[in-house]
Amino acid sequence: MTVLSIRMDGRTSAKPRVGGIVTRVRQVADEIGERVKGVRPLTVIVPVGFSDVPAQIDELSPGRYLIEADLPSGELLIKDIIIEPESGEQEVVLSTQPPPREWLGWQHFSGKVASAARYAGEVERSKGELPGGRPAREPYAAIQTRSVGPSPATSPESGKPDTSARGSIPEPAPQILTGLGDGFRMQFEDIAAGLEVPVGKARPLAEVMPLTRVGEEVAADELHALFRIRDIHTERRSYLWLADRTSSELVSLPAPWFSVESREPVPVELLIRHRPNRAGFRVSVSVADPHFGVALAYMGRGDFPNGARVFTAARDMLYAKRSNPLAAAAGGYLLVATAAGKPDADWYNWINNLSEWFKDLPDGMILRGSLRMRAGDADGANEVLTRAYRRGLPYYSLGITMLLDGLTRLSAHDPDDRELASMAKTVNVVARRANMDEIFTSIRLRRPSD
Amino acid sequence: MTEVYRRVQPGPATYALVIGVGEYPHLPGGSGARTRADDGMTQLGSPTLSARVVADWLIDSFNNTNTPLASVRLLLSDANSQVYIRPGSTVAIPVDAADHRNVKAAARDWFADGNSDEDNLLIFYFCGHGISEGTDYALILRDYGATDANPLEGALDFRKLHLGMDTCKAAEQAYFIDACRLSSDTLIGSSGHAGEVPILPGIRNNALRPREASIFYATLGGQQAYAKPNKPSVFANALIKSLNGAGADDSEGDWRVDTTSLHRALDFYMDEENTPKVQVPQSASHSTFFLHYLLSEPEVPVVVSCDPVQAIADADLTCTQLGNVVHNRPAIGSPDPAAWNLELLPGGYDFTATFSRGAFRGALKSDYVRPTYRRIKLGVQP
Repeated sequence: MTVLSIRMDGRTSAKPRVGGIVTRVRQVADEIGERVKGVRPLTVIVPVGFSDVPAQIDELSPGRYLIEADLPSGELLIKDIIIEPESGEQEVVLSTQPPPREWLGWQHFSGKVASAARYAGEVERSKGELPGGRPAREPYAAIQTRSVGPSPATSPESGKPDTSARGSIPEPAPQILTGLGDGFRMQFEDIAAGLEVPVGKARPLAEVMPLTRVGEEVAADELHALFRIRDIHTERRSYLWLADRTSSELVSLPAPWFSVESREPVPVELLIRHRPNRAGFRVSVSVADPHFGVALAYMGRGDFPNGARVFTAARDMLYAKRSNPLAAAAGGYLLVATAAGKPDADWYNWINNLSEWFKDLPDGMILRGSLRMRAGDADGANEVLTRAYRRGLPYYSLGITMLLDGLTRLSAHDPDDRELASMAKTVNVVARRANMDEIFTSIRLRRPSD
Repeated sequence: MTEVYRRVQPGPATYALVIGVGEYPHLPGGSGARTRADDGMTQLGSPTLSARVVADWLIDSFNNTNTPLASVRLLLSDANSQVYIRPGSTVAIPVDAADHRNVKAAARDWFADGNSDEDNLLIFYFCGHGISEGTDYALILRDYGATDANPLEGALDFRKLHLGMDTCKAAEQAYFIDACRLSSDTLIGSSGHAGEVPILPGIRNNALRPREASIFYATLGGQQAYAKPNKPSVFANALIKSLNGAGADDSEGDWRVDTTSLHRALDFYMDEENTPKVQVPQSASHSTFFLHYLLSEPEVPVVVSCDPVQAIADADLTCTQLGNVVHNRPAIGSPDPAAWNLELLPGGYDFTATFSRGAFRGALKSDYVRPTYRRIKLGVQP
């Protein structure tokens, strides 16, 4: 029997450690080369990042195996190996395609940015689509604001993060500005009523946010700008506004986000994708969490089964420590989406706790309401989802979908409930402005008339 | 007629609703009064071809002994022909137009069929224009824009259809949406209306099996879906190929396509057929259930290339199994195409590159081929 070790190669672009990738080990032929059929593959989680330790499988019998790793980008890594009799230990190293820029490593690994070869093509195309062969540059404006009330990430057991290590922001292109919107409450009604971006209040982003531009030495034709936000020093929920001449976006930041192991804040990355051939931009927020980063990346691509596998592998630690309700909510979404209505009792209890312990986390209450709905409990779902609605904008885009779906069903179920109908309509207005391809809530806003 | 295939099945069965809309009378180029709400949409050549290909595959190739095919409903809007000829038949079946009245009626009949047994499998395929705004998604039907008072009367509200289908007993439901997901002024200004709602959203009876519904979108939100002129769409092609082989797995002993392996195969084919990559498929509501059981070994896509890439120009490429040549491609004298595409049955193969001229020495690689796909890169030395 052989012990098989599987690890990602050193140049793997996801650094630091961000969880693991779902990998199947499948025997396809036996020791004498006869095809093996009807054997379910072994599934392991292969750690990814700096301090990789390999995933190990004990006691593999001799034969031919295929190692298939599902990257969050959609890329499938395949290795064909022979396990010899009495070979003791054997190691397999999985290699990914290189990122287009080293500083886009995590973004490439998670599928937000194309591989080097495709990226070069995108750059070339963008040049060709523009008069003069130069990509358009639009100035962005960004506003950070804070809602009333504490952040749900200020958990019973978490301390205040260290805010001393602010980064500096070099003059970026496009320019990013920021400002504070004082006392702003981010409820569904606010956005549905036509919230505008107060561009006139814009200030340099670094004044209010510990943010670093990543990849400072960038080519003039760069398609992306990447910022890393560390140690967001807020006890309240943070939003970011980004705007250019034609469009603007409100982004809910998943912060503060603490590692459940070290309890240190985990940096939030902000990727701004230009549209060189037209005005406008797209913004993506991600978290390189040591345990759940890859699960979030799978989730972002719509690969919920793999996201749930990675999450499940670490969920006990998450449940035990209660220090990262935002990660817990992500896990809740993954499990609700994949469990087909059969979550275990512990899991139900845990979702209930998430909804009650963290009063300013709309997502916990939305998940609870979705489970009530699944149980056919219309009255219970009504009570819980209306509470969720009043908690305001969820952290996750999927929360908007689940809340809207729940309120829509309940409203159809009880057409006389006018409050419910009104809530469903309001959430629908917001949902229409949501960028549903992003994991974290991102809403397109009106531009100010001036 | 809407139902182009019907076979009474004694127990749980599969019921399909297939819609292809290419002719839009009220969009530019159409035969009717032009709507002000065209939002840049025009006539399409691919959707009816795509819908016919999907209907053909269902009738000719779909195999699921747990839920054998009972019905295929087909609605088309085709400027050239409103008939459908089943595979192996010469009988032309007139097909109902894919307008909102017919689609609503067909959807309700489809719901009723699905509601006959909770172990039923439902399949929905739509190809045509689509416009979206956040979570709302309108599938544009033939009579879109017939009245400017409400252009979206000629559309199907897909979000609400999906919610409404949760009240149907059929526990397994697969939706394939082969349409753009671009934003539109009409949807923005529609005050929450995204088309007709054949079945009102509701709450599933919790005595039933929980619904497992998978949605496969041809493209990401805010993006376009593509087709070559007068060919089935990129997504329809990828779907059929995936169902026939690349999406299969034999972990249960026989080759089956489930919703998760299907997604991997769609990813591969759409990546291969989009150069440069312009269309990325997306799935949602992930449940894993078996869709299709192959009757024979799957054909696995294999992509053979050389490293360095330009070496392929002078490479004689050969694929052998147990010493027998399975496929061979002589040198083509050009680095384009940069890969040799094969379809192989599962098994171990040897891939070789030999050079009768040029600056490279030969290379050999042995690899095992099975779904989803294999990429074979032959490292050749100068």
